[in-house]
Amino acid sequence: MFSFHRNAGCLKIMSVSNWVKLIEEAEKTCLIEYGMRKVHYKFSKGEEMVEEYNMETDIINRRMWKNSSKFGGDCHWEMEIGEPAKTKELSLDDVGIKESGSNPYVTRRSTRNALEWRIRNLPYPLSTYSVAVSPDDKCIYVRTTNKKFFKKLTVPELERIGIPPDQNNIEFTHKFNTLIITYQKPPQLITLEKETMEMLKKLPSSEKGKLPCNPS
Amino acid sequence: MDDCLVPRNVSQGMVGQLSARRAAGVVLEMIKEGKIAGRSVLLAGQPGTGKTAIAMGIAQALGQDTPFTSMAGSEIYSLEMGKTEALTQAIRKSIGIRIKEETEIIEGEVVEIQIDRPASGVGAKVGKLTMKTTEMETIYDLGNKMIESLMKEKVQAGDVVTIDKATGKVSKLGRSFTRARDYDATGAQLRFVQCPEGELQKRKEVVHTVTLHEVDVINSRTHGFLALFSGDTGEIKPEVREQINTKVAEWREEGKAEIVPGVLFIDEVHMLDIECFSFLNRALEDEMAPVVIMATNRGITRIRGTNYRSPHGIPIDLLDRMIIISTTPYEDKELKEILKIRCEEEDVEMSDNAMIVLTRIALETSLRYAIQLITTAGLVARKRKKTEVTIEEIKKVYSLFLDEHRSSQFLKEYQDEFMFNEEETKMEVTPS
Repeated sequence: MFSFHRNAGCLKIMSVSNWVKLIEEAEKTCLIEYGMRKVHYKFSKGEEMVEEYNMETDIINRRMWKNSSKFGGDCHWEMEIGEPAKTKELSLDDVGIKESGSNPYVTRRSTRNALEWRIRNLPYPLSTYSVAVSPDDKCIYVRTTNKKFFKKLTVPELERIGIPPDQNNIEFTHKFNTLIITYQKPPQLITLEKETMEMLKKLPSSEKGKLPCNPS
Repeated sequence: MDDCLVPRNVSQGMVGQLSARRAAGVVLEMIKEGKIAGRSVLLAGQPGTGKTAIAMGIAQALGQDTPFTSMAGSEIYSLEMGKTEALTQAIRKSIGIRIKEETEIIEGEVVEIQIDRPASGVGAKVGKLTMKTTEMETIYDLGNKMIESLMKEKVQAGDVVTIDKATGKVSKLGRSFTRARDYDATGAQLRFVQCPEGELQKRKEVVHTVTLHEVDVINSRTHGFLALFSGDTGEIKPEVREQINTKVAEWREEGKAEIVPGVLFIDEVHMLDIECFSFLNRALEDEMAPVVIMATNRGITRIRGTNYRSPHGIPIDLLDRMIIISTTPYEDKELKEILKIRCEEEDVEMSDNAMIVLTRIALETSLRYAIQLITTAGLVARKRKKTEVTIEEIKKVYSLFLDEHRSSQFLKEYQDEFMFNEEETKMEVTPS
């Protein structure tokens, strides 16, 4: 249901400056709607990304990547941050097989100082879980002692700036059938996000209803 | 069909036509080496000399990865699309692109599979599949098609399977080691495998071949609800095609994709008219053209749509681009061999005498008629409770069913008694 595969994987950014350069060079469109600043990025290699910031707190609400298959045809937006949009569910006969609704699923959030994962539909007590960083593939592994759930979490924000995840920054709790994993943002990431915000605020933005052209 | 370009006399159901098959073997080698793309081959010969069979043989020998499209010349005349559109689609169906793509697969051991049929017996089935790896367990809901393919593969608890999420293809890898003691008796080819590790859903890079036409269709559907009106079999806009061509050329340059020119087989090619021929002329010059194999049984006839006469009913300029392979009528030995194969195919036992008579019939009338007689004689023999077809049955069906020649003879004799009869009409026997 939720995977952190990005076709942006081919962007291969390994340092802060690279990422900043990419964002600066991307073709950006900004729109303010319902108290949200929505920014659309089009990168030189054809990838597309959309971000949504809360106007009051300047905290990112959603970030998604356009993922279209190689042959064109139907594309969908893959969520990096935020609740998945409630799109029309594909009927079971179209897809053939899908995970049952009672299975655990992952959503991501970003707060001012931390990255957060929420894994819902996980009924087991806190002692069952282990959340560990794997230094080899720069991922966070979530395991359960009863072998019911396993997930490899990537941290795209850290990948972009080339910092491997650190076990000491991880905390996790469990309540309301949900496992919440919090990762303290490193200072480099916080400054990067501030800089990005500054840049976005300078963008000419159109308010809803005052678009340069009439949307159909 | 051939080894070292020398055809065996009888192989894979093909008999005789040695020179034609040798030629086809050469053509086949050229196709495999990719030297011939954009050229064409004409199979010419009398009716019933195995032109279609040779084309099918080429198709089989090329293997699954090379696209092979077979069409009849008259197929292009349809109300739904223009002649050139039909031809373009046929051509694009015969050009494949081999490309790497990432697909999502589910790989794990089946814990439980539960399929509920509605009590009334009608309506959709509901299914649940529980799968696990060494680390996790997940429940999946199953659609109707998936249930069917799981049942076809006879998937049961303890099997290790992979399911391709995009195509829905199910493949069994084997049985899990932990279930090795479930049964005492196991089949010889049963494999035991470890339960997979890690996540159930994985991404894997696979190489597959799609045809240009398929890419066209995928992309023309995305144009929103408008696609509803044109339908998916309708015409595809030239802009879409152009877009795809440039995209494919890009991929090819970047080394992401490889073009596989396939084979387009047009049977009864004399049914095409002059417009189609000139279109083909142009299409063959394209850099991404498939090998076009045509078959015809006509001699010098009128080109459809004109008053000019030309060999095989094909304009000279197109004929000039072709390699022509001719097939000759079968000899009686070969005929006998073919009839024997047919008999085996249809489970009909035939005595040697009957076979000789039948070969004689095939030689004098036509091979197709003789093949028809096998089936009918087989039925008669069964009715008479005989295990073997003998001369008597052949005689019986020979008198029951007319061959083409006797039929026209009969018509000539009794034509006054038929409807719509005109005195001057000359019965013209057209070859089938």
